[in-house]
Amino acid sequence: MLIAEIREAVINGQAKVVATKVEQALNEGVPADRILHDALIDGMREVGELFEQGEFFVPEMLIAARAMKGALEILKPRLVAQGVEPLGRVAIGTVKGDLHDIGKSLVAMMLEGAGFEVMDLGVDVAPEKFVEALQNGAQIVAMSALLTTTMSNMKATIDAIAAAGLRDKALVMVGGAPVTQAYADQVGADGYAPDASAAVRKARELIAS
Amino acid sequence: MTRYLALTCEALARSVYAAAAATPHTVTVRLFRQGLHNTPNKLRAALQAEIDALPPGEWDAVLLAYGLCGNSTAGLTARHTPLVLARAHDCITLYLGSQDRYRAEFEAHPGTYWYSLDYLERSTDGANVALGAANLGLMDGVYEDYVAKYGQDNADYLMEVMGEWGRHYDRAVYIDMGSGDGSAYEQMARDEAQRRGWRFERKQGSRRLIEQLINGAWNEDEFLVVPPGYTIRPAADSLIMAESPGAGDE
Repeated sequence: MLIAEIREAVINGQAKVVATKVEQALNEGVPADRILHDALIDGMREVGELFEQGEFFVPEMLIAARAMKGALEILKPRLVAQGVEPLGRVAIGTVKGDLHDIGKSLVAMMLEGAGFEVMDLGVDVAPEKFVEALQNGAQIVAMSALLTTTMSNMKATIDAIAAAGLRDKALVMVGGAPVTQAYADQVGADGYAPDASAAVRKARELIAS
Repeated sequence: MTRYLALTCEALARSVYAAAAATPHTVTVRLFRQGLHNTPNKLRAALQAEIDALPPGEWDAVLLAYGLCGNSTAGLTARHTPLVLARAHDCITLYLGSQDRYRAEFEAHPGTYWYSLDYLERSTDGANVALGAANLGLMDGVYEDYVAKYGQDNADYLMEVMGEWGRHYDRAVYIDMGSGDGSAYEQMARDEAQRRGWRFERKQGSRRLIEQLINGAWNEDEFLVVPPGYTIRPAADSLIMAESPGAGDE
């Protein structure tokens, strides 16, 4: 069964196998949204579970996400043609002054793998860039920081969102090594996640609320 | 007679010893392995175990020659003796001598790798030679492991992703704290900067904050004094940290 094989290859991080089999499935008439949901999203869900069980670590997650992303590129034009809507729109970035991107990029890929549309704003992202993303249709703002030095820019960003009159409709998530639930509460974020897999769960929860 | 116990990160050893030698107070210095901040839970546990084992009444205060250090010191609880530490994110502030100077450096050049004599002379891991709250350990030797596990294509991808941070860095700074002979280590930092295409700068450090810590000159803006029964918390404002009643829950 092609879907099951694609799903398995995503979990194992076999980017080339995934790409080949996705093309094959499309040629055989399997609908793009079915490949997306049953192979990619479901495969990435299992990757998240394996990570939480301690079976998978960051490298395994990265290569699985890479394989998923390759497939998503192939499917995108068809999904657009089919009118498939994303689960939600997320603008993600590492806060101003912070240049660390591995964790942020991993969360971005896991969110994509869960069916979200992700605008990756990169590193050293100024508060006004997050505000701009909200004005451009993002529903969730996800901020990352690796340093306690830059963590305070999460608050600065939330303040900028409020100043732009967007706080009520924006969903704000925070994460990164030094960030805790207590800190998230302190800066007035809507959600906190300790790792990439939990971040997906939190984003789903926020968008459903 | 005032007696202090200074629980000190190795990265600040020479400066703390120098301040302890000059102060009118009686200061005992205990060193902890540098690099423990890479595992904040371990560093916190090591410091708390030391604090918990101290006999009551022996010291007037326990000085922590640390900053927040990736939240390593957040969650530490003072038992019978107060804890004192500088309001700093990490040792770079303590090397530079003030929060203002650190902030100016950080804002102007966030992509800076810092080097010091203490850190380099006590480094047991030759590959991991720079300072700061972030463990950016160099990736030598990992590649072969990835090829074996995930195949060459994925290994190349992982090296690219994991090495991404290096592209955002553009400056190496050697901080001279004015003690010992750091010329060999300064050269090491220069070589590293050249190898990575970073600009090299040498900066004069300042023992100002460390001396104030050791001398008991703890102004509220720059130092946190944690009374018995209180716990260190990270703060979202410019004070960096605060104390709250009760024991740590982290």
